[in-house]
Amino acid sequence: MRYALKKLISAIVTLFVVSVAVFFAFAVIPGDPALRKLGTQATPEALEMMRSRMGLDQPLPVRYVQWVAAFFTGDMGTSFSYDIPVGTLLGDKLPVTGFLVLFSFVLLVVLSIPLSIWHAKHENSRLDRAMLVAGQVIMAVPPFFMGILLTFFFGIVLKLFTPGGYVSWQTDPGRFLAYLFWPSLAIALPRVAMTVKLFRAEMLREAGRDYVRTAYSRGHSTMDVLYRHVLKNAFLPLLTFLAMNLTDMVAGSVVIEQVFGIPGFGRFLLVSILGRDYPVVEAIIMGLTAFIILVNLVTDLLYRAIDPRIEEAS
Amino acid sequence: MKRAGRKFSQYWRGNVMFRVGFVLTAVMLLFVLIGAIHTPYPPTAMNEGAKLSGFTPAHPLGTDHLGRDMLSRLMTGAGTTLLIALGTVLIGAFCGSVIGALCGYFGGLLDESLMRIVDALFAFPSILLALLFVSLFGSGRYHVIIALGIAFIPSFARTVRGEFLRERGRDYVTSARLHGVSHLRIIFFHILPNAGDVLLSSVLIGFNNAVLAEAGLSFLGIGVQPPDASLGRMLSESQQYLFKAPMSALLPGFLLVWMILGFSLAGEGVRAGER
Repeated sequence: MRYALKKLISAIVTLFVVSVAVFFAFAVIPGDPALRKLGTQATPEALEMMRSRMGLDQPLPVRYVQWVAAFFTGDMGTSFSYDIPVGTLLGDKLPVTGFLVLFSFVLLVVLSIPLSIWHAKHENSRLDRAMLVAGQVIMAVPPFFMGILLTFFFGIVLKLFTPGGYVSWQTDPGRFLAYLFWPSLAIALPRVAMTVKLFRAEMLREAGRDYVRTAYSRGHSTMDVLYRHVLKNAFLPLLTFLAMNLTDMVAGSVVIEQVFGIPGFGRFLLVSILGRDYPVVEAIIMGLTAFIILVNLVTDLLYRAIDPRIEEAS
Repeated sequence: MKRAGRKFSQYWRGNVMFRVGFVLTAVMLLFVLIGAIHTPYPPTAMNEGAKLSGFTPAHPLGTDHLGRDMLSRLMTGAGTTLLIALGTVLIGAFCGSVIGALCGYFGGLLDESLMRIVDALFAFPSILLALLFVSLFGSGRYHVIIALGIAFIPSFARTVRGEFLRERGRDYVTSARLHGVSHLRIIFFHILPNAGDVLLSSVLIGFNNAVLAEAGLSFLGIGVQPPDASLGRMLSESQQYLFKAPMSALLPGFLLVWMILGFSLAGEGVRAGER
């Protein structure tokens, strides 16, 4: 329990540090939001009124507290460009990016775990080594280039999907998912290669331990030893690795959405950065950070739940 | 120098990965160096008559949508990508080593407070951090170097701190203290050289991540600005011509894979050589 509390506090501190950094960074950069809103023709009085209406005349720490407090009530400010609450704008984008990341993560787990088990079973066979080399090359392919390659082979040459033919989930959930398969695969493939490499090495290391020899000498079959002993022990490092991948996938989705023309968080973030729409940028960055910190927290707790020895070590 | 040579032959004999990685990287560097001295055409010169020409004797690797020679652009583009990655890693490794060394050596409140910030930054994917910086300070190649450099500090700081935590209790450190050697001298002349191997493999891995991050940023259009070429920039420009001229659209990507593969194999070779 103390462990959980400690981790929770540390997560909150991290979130606080990031929120302060993000808020002050955007507060001190040159450019007056009131001036932006009213245009350069505005009279000084109108500007002054606008500033006080937007709360810009308050001291920075007060504005920070207001900003954070507003976040908790679900008010993430108003977009400069669209003049619509940021929450409303992000509302339609959340499921798109959410599904993309979820889909890639599912692909990662579904592809990498059976593959690694296969590798561990057929250690040093010809196919094992050939696939490790192939994996090494796949690892070196940046996800966005993987996206372009998939578009080329499966979209243009084999015509399995229409490049740029995104369908929104409100119109047709089936086709939405079918289209998302390709970008998800592009995000997942290089990570599958990394995961297989790590998990295979981890399982082989476990397989060399004494308890495995003992299990064999007691007459357990290979399958038995593999699934009941080795897999269990090799699973822990895999868990952290997968969680790390999940957070990287969120970041990777920004670029992939651009490759496949998917209107999610990433593209919106990009448009907002280029258009200097700071409330949107702040909200997206804070949202992603909160998600990343949450994933890390859950991993730490899960890790502890699976292996109670962790507490003594830390 | 002699020590470096011995290390090199140890790695070279040690494993295939290092050999392949080294050769790939050397060929890549040669390609870029030749490009720095001479390119067949000026990389920004447009040839109206030969847009997306495909492979011809005049343009052995074809031309892009503005009729610019692909070979020349690839040479300078790879150079830009490499330079940005180099700058990024230098900033990250230098600042990270200093922070990590001070935190690991002195510990205490300094360590606690600096590491809190470093951990917060570390949890953050570097491309997001770079996006944030670029949105604050604007795009362009120097901004990208600074943005990515800052984003790379945490990983180096953590690695070096770990090394210092391990080393600071060793006898040679105590003995140097007893001889009255100053803390700074111990940190930079006694302990840091011992962290060299670990730092080298993190530099190689960091270099890779920097190449990836730069390519990603430029691909998004907020990294290097036209008419400058970088591999990511070229990929994003040519993506829409994937249908008409697939080869010239894919070439910058293959070069990128080549580059990353070379560094990652060399990096893993170094790490494997240490064990």
